[in-house]
Amino acid sequence: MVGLPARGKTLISQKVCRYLQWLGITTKVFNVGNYRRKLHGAHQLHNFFDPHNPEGERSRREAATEALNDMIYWFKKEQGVVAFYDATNSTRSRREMLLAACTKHNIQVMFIESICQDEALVLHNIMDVKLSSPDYKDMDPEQAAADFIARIVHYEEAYETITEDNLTYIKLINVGSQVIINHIQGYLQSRIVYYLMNLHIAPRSIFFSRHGESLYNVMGKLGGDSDLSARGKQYAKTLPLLITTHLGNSEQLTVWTSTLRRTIQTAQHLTYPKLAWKALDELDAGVCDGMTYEEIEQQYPEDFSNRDEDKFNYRYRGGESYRDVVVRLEPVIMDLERQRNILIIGHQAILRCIYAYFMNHSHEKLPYIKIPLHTLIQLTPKAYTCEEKRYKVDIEAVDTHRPKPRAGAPKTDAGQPMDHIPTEAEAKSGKDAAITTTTMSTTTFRDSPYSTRHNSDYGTSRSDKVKDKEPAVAGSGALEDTARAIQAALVDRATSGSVADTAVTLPLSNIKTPGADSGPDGSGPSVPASTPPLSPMPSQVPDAAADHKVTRGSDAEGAPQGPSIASSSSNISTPAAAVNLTIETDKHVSQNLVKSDTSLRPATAWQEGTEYERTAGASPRDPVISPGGRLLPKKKENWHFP
Amino acid sequence: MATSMYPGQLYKTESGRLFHAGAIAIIFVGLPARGKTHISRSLSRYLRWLGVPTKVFSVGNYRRQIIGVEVTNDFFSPDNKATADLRIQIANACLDDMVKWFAEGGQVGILDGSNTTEERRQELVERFKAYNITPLFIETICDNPAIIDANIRSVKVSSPDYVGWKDTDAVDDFKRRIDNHLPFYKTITDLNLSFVKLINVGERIIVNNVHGFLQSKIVYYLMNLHICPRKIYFARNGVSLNEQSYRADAPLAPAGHRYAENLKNFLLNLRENTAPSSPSSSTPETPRQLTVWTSSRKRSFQTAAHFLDHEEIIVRQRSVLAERNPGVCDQLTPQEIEEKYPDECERAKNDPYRHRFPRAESYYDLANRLEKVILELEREKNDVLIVAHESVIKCLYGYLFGLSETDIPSLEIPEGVLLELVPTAYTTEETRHVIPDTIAGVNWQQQAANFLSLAGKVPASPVYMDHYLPDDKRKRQDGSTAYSTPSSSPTSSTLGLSGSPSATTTKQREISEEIGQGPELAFRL
Repeated sequence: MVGLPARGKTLISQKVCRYLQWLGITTKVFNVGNYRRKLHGAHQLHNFFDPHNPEGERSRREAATEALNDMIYWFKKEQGVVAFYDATNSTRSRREMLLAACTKHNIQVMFIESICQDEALVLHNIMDVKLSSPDYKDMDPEQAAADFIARIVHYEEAYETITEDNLTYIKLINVGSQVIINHIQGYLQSRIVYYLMNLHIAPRSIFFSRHGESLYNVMGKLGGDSDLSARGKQYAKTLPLLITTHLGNSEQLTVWTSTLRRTIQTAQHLTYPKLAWKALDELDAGVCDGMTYEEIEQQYPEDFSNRDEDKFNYRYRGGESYRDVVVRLEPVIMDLERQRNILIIGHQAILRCIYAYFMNHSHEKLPYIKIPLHTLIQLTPKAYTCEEKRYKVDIEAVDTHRPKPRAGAPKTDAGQPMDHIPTEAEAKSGKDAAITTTTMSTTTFRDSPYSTRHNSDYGTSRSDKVKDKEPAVAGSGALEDTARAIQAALVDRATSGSVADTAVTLPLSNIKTPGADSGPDGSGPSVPASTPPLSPMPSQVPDAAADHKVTRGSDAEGAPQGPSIASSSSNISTPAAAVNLTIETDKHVSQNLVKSDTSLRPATAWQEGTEYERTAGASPRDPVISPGGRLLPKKKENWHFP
Repeated sequence: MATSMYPGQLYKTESGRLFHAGAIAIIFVGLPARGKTHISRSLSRYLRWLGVPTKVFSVGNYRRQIIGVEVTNDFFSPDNKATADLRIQIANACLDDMVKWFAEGGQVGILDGSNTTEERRQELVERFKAYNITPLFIETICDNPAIIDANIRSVKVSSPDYVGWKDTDAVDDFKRRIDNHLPFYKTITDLNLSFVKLINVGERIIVNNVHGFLQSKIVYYLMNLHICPRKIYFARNGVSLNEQSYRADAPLAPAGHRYAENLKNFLLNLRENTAPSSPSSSTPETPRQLTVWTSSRKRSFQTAAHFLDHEEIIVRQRSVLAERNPGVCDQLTPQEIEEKYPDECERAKNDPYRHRFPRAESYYDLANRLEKVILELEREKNDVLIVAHESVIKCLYGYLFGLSETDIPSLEIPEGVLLELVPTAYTTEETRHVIPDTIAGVNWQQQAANFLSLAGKVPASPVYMDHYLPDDKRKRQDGSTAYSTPSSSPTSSTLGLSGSPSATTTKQREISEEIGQGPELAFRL
């Protein structure tokens, strides 16, 4: 990376790193700032960075060298494929030094320079991210900002943009409005450039929902192309309201479905533009398609246990593995990166893969991510975090999640009731279909310099807090407005010191507003005027209740009841009347998702280079395969990893 | 938007919106002999293959049509007032047709002309913006005289303008034509425009103000394009133990292994014999490495695995190269499909490229899936052998020849044939070699042993040997050697999908009887 401070270098390297890791390429970021803090302490003021300060100069070079040595060691030791050397590298001599060191170890070098001439954007970045950095812990924000700007000035003195035309480099100018690409070699490099060109930083939300409960879900069967069950259909009817409630009426949204009936049916009541992707079709279970887990266990006991051993790499006979699905989903991710608000109505395995991309889950955990039925997940990607909200609609559904079995544990528990199943009494009274909201903010980068914050009370970055609590934002319904408000708040804070902090009120956990919507950030107590009425008209309540009774009574034979429900809810003119929403907003910062260093390198068989057959569910005679999908010749010393 | 329960239809209606991009006009900028025509052709081939309605509007072709081939250099001199009007007229005729084509539903129009002046570019921008068409400029700059020279010699001299000319005269004339443009040529400097500058064939690329998914796809494609000579080979996979079922993913039959060994021997021989004596090229070619790409389906990668005993050959396995999923048609004969899904068959006949049987993949789906392979193939400078199923080869072949979607499903890629393709600027040359059965005398046991001896990579377990038990399959192998005759043998995913099942019916029956126990066997292994 090359560029002045606060030009988004860390953001770029972390994002690309996450993308490559998700694809299964061994990638790591080496942040020189972290090394500097480790070696010389965090609280260094700007004169430390003065190029005329020999002491500081020496210390900084020390940190840079140590990071470089670690990186080279990592390439050798862990058979790393891509490493990001995240530092300013703003001088020609420093770049020459890096190039020489890497070339010596036969490592290709690509420079990514981020140039930003937009002062406001830089200031925004400083406010947004840098002030929450450990360098400025316990410091007055105004003072910190001034110090940081002074630091940038020091770097500017010595800054030389890349003009060495023999180097491989990418220059990103003003957040991708201009891109210069020089001497790109290799497919992976061009892939990275393509990815970078598709990134944008405009605020947006990504909604995930699985299809409503299908007939195959009820029967416990895998795959297939079945229709929705009665409860699934009811969920499909609830969905439009749920979306408008959390998106706002004025917002644009595109709905993506798979080409299978159950997702298209789930989307049928939505009025947004829709697109059916073949690539979003459920993981192909091959010969096991249409079987229950029990049947698979009986007929293919060996496969069944292989799958539990390494679920990510297990490929169903004649079908797909999670790894195959990740490869297939890559174009979807690429498109997703450049989209604004998106609702994906997908399938369990598909959403696990996409969710893992955004939340940076390892391949080991990916196949066990919980994506329950009848739950809408809203992800709001931020610079270093990804905020997640789950809205659980109180329409019962079978649980299709199969946790990793432990020794002695029952092999399968699919079909067990859901975690938050309402009590019998509630179900009987059946007045409301409650929606339970869970919010969390998770750092999506495994070794970000800012992740330490998440262990303290700074669960979200500062801007998040402002965003969450800025009263002016609530109920505005438009994310653009939110963004503008943040900008305003930031400028406000920048000019008037800590005033904005006092304007921050109303922690989210205090909000409990039954029957009200929670605004685009789940924070606003006020209801947008345009939101449809959320409480059903009194005359409709009994009908709604009846619906629920019918549904609940038909656990096993849900399907035949379908038509009767449809007819009994014929008086529901708008989806708004179908359910009464109770919103419990519960905000907590998830710490367990902040990964420790030990989970950085999941010891999967692929990375270890052990043989394919044991893990990937292939037969013992299949040749050995490397992470790049390359079949390997017999001699181990001839194995090359791409 | 109405939700259609007819998946094929749904996809077709929506496909135009796949990239959320409206109409795009790609306008080339640059002096003659900078590779504009080559790039525009490759790009349109790629976009069309993606399903985007694309057309190239070449000003040069319009000129040749309107005033004929016989023009002098003066014609191109911007000083020449007499011809200036005529040239503007020609350019506008081309432009008018392009705008008309957009109105008819075209998505990407490529204007292949020199467009060297700023005024002209501004005029184009205004014209297109008025029709709500997004302009994107692609400027090709080349300051390496060697590349220009090579381009003039290889491409321009053979262009229709110089039919019957002596080579040296043509080169001189063309160089004068370039000189005429030179004083008026202004590179793009207006940063408000969306443009891509390609400097020295992708050595450096400047991308300015380019937004949109389709646009970034175009840039990505341009990044991967190269013009080095190389060869691409295609071969189908060998016969598996269960040709009927996609889901079974059966391993190769003994005959398949024999075919694989033959393929390997033949290809390596072919390369050895042609490499030193390539009289066509004057420059000494350094021998290029061979890379083998294969899918993760058993019969494909087991065919390719035979190349593993040559350690200099890289064999890569890619799950995206898997054959077309036949969906509900799996394990069905054409007759059974006709009986069970008469409506679907009707639709398949009407639109064999895009129609998707329930839960199956259409050729269109397959093409989308193969896109990243295409880009890797464009970038690859080594020779590549792709061992894959017929449907995959059809799609890739269709891409390389710029075939339209109606041609792809009816292509014939026979078994037992090695396709050798050499992509060049304007066309792709094709040679088909029938793979001779050079190990016909070897008995199956010996052959199995050969394969096993390839490595410790394939442990010789008793289970593994099951393949080679002398059951009724052996008869087939000793008999007709199905793989070495270039007749198209039916496979599960071509059943009924191509709309002409009758030709293969009898043979189909035969095979299904022969390997009636196929699926079972495959599962046991």
